[in-house]
Amino acid sequence: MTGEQAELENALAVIGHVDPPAPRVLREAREVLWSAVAGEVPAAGDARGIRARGMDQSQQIVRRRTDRDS
Amino acid sequence: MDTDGVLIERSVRGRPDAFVEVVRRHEIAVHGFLARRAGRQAADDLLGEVWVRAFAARGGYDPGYDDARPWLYGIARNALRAHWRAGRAGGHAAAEEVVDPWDDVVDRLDSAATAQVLVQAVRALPPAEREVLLLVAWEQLTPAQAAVVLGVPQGTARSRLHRARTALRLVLAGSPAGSSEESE
Repeated sequence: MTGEQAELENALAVIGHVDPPAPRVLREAREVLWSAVAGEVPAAGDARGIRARGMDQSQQIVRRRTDRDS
Repeated sequence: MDTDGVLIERSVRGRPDAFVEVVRRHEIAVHGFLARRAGRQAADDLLGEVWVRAFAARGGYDPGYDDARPWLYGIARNALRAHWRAGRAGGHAAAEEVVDPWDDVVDRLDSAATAQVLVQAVRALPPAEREVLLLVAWEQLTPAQAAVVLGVPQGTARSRLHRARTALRLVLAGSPAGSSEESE
């Protein structure tokens, strides 16, 4: 990489910088995913446990979003 | 350590929870992709939707690709398009503007003259060139990976990247030839 190109890449990196998300954001997004995963777990025992956890978590997310939007 | 491809294939073959590990690996990167293009609030709101879309589409993933980021960015890009089409982003109504994060970028800028000149120059690039440039510069993808995100041939991505870099280098060098007209 030439000096000119390195300068360009560095400058682009500066304007593209964003801070990492709060852990809560990542956790909530994973909880949404868990609900989808729970729907496909084949073993009945696993499915019940994961689905129950996913539903609980989804309900919490809905509550949080409702609180935030209200 | 298993590759993303192995984990996704495993998630298709009876172990859907294996997909969660892929998410853990790339969640900060995908959030950054969204935040750079739509702002933090939209990124926060859309991240879970991206995971659900990706999980639903994982059966189409080619496990030969070790790194799932290009695929995930492509899904995030589609989620952004849908987000704007639904008019949920206020002020960003046009779907073709989904990768036009400039209001957010300007807010982040300090007073560095070079950065401001660069922002104007990037804004002036044709959107197709800008998109591949930012996938490489911001998301640290190779041109080949950027091509996967955009669904274009690798050669197309490389030529767009070359044109974009040339235009921006000219701007940074202070050449009047680095105007938007030069890059179009």
